[in-house]
This record gives sequence, C-alpha cells and structure tokens, in this order.
Amino acid sequence: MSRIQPGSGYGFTSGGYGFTLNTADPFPDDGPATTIYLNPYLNGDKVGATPGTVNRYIPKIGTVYLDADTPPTITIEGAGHICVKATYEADKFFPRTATIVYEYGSTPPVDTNTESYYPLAKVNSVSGVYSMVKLSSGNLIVNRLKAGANIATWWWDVIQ
Amino acid sequence: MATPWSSSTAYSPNAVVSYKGLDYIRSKYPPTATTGTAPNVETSVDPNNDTIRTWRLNTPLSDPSPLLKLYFRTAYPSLDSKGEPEFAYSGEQFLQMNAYDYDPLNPPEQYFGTSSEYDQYKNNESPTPDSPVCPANECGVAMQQGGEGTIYVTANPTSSGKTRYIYVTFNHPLYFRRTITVMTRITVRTINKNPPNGPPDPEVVTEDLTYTTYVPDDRNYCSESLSSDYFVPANAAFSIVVPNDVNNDDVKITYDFTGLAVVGVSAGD
Repeated sequence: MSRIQPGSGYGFTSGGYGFTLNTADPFPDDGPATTIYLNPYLNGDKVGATPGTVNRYIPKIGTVYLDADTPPTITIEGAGHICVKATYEADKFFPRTATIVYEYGSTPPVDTNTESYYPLAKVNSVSGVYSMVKLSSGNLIVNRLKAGANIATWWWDVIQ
Repeated sequence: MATPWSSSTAYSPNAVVSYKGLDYIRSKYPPTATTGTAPNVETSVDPNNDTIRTWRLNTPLSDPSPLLKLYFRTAYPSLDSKGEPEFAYSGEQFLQMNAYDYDPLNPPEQYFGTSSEYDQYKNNESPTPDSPVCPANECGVAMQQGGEGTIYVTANPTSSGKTRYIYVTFNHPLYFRRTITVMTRITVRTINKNPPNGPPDPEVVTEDLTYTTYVPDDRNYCSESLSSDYFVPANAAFSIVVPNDVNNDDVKITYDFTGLAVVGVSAGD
C-alpha cells in the first residue's frame, strides 16, 4: 500500500472520490518567530519598523499594518524621529489607534490630552545622507492618566 | 513551534499559528471559528463596532507580569477638624483598556495598558461638572512604583560619528519630575609642534568638563531589562559633540570622550 506524506505546507484531503493535494503554500517560512517586536529601521530615505505590538495592537503606517505582505514604509525628507503615536478617544478601547509616524525636527512632538509620541529612533541628515540612532525597541505598553483639568500624563513600558 | 496557518482550516479563539515567519494567536473577535483569510489580513469588529484584527501577534512576552507593577496614588482630600475628608472623592472614572483584554465577565487581574481619568475632588458625586473642586495642586495624581528598591540613576553613552548620545536611566518614576545633572568629560591632548625655541613641547593633557542639566519628562519613561531585573525607568537622551581633532604645522590637538557621571539630582517632589 502506498502512502502519501505531504511535506510542510502541503494540504492533504482524502475523501470518497480520491484525494486532493493542496500545494498553494509549499514549505512556508514557519520557523519559530524570534524577533516579534517593534524595531525601527532606515533604508535609504525610507523608514519603518518591524511588526510588534502596542497594548497588543499591531500598529499601522498610514492605513497599512506593519505585518502586511508588503511592509509599509515612510519616505523622509529630513532629520527627525521615528515615533510610535498612540491616540485616545473617549468611549473607545485604548489606544484608539497606534501608528508609526515620522516627525521632523530635533525633538518629538509634545504629548497632548489625546496623542502621545514614543520615539523609537532619531534620524540624522548630513548632505542628504541619513543615519539612524536607535533609541528603543520592543513591544510596548502605553498608559494614559488624566486627573481633573490637568493635562493627561502618558507613559510607556517596553516589555522586550 | 506553532503550526503553519492553513487556508482550509477553521480557527477558533486562542488558536496559535505561524504565518510568514510570525506567530499569531486568534483573538475572540469573532467568537466563532473562521477560515480562509490569512492572519495578517483578517479583521473583525470589537464591542464598539470598530475594526480590529482577528489575529494578534503572539509576542514572546505577551504578559506584562515581569514588569514591576506601577500604580497610582491619589492625593486624598485633607481632613477637617472631625477627622473626616473635607470633600467626597468621586474616584476613578472612564477606565479604558485594549479590546483584546476586555472581558466584562472575567476582567484581567493586570491590564495591558490603560487610559483612566479621574475627576478632581468634589463635594458632589460625579458627574456634576459644576461641582466645587479642590485646588488643583491638591488634586494631583502621583505615580509610584510597587516593589520599590534603591533609587538608581545613571548615564550611558552611545556614539554616532563625533556625536555622543547620553542616556539617563533611572528606576523611579518620579525622577522625570527632577533635574538631573550629568557631567561629561572630554580629554584634550595638545602638542605645540613649533615652539619659538627648541624642540616640540611635551604633550599637555587637560580635561574639558561639561555639566548638562536634563529634565526628563514622562515620555522618557519606560521599562527595560537589565540582567534579570526589570527597571522601571527610563531613557532620556541628549547629545554632545566631540570637537574635531586639529593637526597642522603648529599644533596637534586630539579630543577624546573619556567619561561621564551623574553628579546631581534635584530634590523634586
């Protein structure tokens, strides 16, 4: 009796009319994930971050999640910071959104009652050539607290 | 190792798969099994009817328990002559958490990031916006660290060309309200190659000390692991630039970044 031993990524279905072999995704990259955390990167004039989490959410760049088949990037035009931006909105889960943004200037934007920026990296520009200094990486927890009329306090934890 | 995701398999909440090198765990949105849509694409809706990813990344440290626990201490109303609070305290309102942790029937013991809002102390129960409130400076909310140990503050440099980035690390959250003074040292070696008379002078070594005051804010506040301990607190960076060396017919001057130290912390609050 012959036996079929499909390899990794081959789907095998046996039925009364014979069997089918699904080869749509042969030998997928299913190795153990060892680097699942936000890690900023610079590639020429484009910046981005590897997939990770903020309060369990996967951030986006623009409208595209970081773990999309084609990872999203941001094209930059000067020095600035690669930041994680978290937003608060009443009557929503927290954070309302988590995105990777690029903020020009020597310092990240100041937190407000509704937005907070956590810098992952500083990007320098010398004669149009960019270099990056990583400030942080990991999966993040963001908390927000607002007391009375005082401005909200945000703080971030790195868990990896 | 997680099982590779299959387009023909139906997955229920808590299923774990690998897909394109990443591990995913199936959330409770929706609670019924689904099939056919890749984990990096499939979406559902949360209880607020907002779009949410059906699968979240199964990150290696998905539980915040290794962290030192943070909590808030509120400044309660002062007591009157009878030993009773001068104002009723309306307490915490508007607690929000992430949708993945949300379960009204089985709330998590430790939230994975929250937004919480407190009203100021008032003599009517919330919500009564026009209620009298305490003075603002008595309505503060202070962050404190559970399991607090020795307060620790230090600084470490990293380099990028001639620029040195100085990271101030501290393990007490209230340090972000203080002024920290960091001394940086650049060693300057000077050789006068062409003195008026005689051979070149011997090398002269001087220390160029700079004192930088730094006021971290709450954005500099994060946790990092150091050996097996988790420190709560935080990276604040500023930079100094090491001057370029000089070498001409008359003089040779070299500049080396040779050290730094935290030399002062203000009393703070």
